[in-house]
Amino acid sequence: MDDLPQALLIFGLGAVVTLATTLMIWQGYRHWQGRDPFEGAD
Amino acid sequence: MAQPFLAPGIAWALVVIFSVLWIALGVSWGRKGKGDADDYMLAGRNIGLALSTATLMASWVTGNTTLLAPEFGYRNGLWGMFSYALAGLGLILFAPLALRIKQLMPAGRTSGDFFRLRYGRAAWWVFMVITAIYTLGFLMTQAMGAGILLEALSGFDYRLGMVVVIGVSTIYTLYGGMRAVVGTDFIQSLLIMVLLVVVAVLAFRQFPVPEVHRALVASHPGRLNLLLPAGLLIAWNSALFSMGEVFHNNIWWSRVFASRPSVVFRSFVFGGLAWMTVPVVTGSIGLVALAQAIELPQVNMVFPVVASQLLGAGGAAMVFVVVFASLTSTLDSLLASTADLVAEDVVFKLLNPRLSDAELKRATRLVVIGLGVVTLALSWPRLDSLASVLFFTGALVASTIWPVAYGLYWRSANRVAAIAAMVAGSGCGLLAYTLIAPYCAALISAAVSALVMAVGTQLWPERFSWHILKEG
Repeated sequence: MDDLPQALLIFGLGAVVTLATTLMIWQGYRHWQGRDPFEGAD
Repeated sequence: MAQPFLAPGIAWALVVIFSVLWIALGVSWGRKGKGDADDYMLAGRNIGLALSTATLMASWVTGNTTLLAPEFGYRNGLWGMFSYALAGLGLILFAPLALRIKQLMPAGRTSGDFFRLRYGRAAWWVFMVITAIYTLGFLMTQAMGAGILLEALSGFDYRLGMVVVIGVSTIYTLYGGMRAVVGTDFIQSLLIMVLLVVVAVLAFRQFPVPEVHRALVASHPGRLNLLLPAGLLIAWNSALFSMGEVFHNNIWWSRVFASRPSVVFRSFVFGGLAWMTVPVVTGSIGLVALAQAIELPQVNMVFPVVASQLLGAGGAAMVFVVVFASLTSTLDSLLASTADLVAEDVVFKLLNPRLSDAELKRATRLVVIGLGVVTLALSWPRLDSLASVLFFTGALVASTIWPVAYGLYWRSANRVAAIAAMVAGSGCGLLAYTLIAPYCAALISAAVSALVMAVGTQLWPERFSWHILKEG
């Protein structure tokens, strides 16, 4: 597992998962900004 | 055994001075406040920005940050430093979640409260298994790290170093609770930052950056290559592993509950950014060692070797203090927050809901002692492959990232999907650990868990009432 194509594949997957997680959190944060935290609708 | 970096007399003097200081301050701070269980567990829920930032940073600086990060820099060059520093993302990305937790659970005490109220008792059991394995692994690596590091730095017997570090942390946590932990963390974080800066500045005054760069280009150009395969492989593992650690573990949730609402967001961002400087600074020391071709008896001893070679006995003493502060600041946080979790979630909520406030506080104290004893017992036989223990737990904790974040923001988050995400993520992460490589465990676990959580929720959305979390 130490040649470049495989390393780039793992690197790419890691970047996608990290980015997706960051975007999900950012979206949730923006959604609830300035709202009642217990508001019923998503 | 290799020659220790510090004379035993100086090492003993430092241990006695800092042990007495931590215990005296911890006991004294523990006497403040109302003295009830909530005060003992969460320091009055009134911690300000400076203390909150410092305790986050100090708890996150472990023995690994000061000794493994230089090894990463030495072995993997620039990527080694940067990938280790990416672990700060766990704290930074938790900042918005911390704000939401503070709003939804003003009376909450533990991360277990969230799992139980949000996803039900079955999910809570899965969470408890994951956090128990992770916490025991973390306690053991810190305890064993203490024994191994103090032995290498000062010649102390492995078990003596371990007993001293665990004993000191347990005593002041026992008497002072969260107040003692936060107060000592503040001083420990200042010590760590100041001494690291002093070591780095003195090292780079002797070997300026252009000189180090020239030497690396000539002798180890691969270490400056951002496409180094070994560096690429570990890059995101640190980030995802750290998110898993921070998002689920009660160390960080207890800091949210203990801090003022106005400071939680900023303290996690500042704490994460401050922490990131530590592996960058210590990692750069690894590059200095490489550039100067300094001979190393063990590669994980890069930092003390460089400090003592460049700065003499004073450098070795500074490293000793940094390591001692890093270990005690992490162990006290682990002991306090795990004791809160066991006492609140297991003893109080599960076994005996009629427990009085005084009995809950007593139970928490007993758990602190019990954890200290269990940690000592488990760490008594010495293991030298601590990194593999840590990577193993990465497979488990990374599976909690999406269930936690999704469950805090979307009321449609499905409870069965959350359980399936944690189980499937952990299972696949462990398979990746065994079949591919240990550093892929957190990545595969997080990827599978995210997929299961998102698809399960899309297919079977729930309509959770946020008010349920308020009772926590």
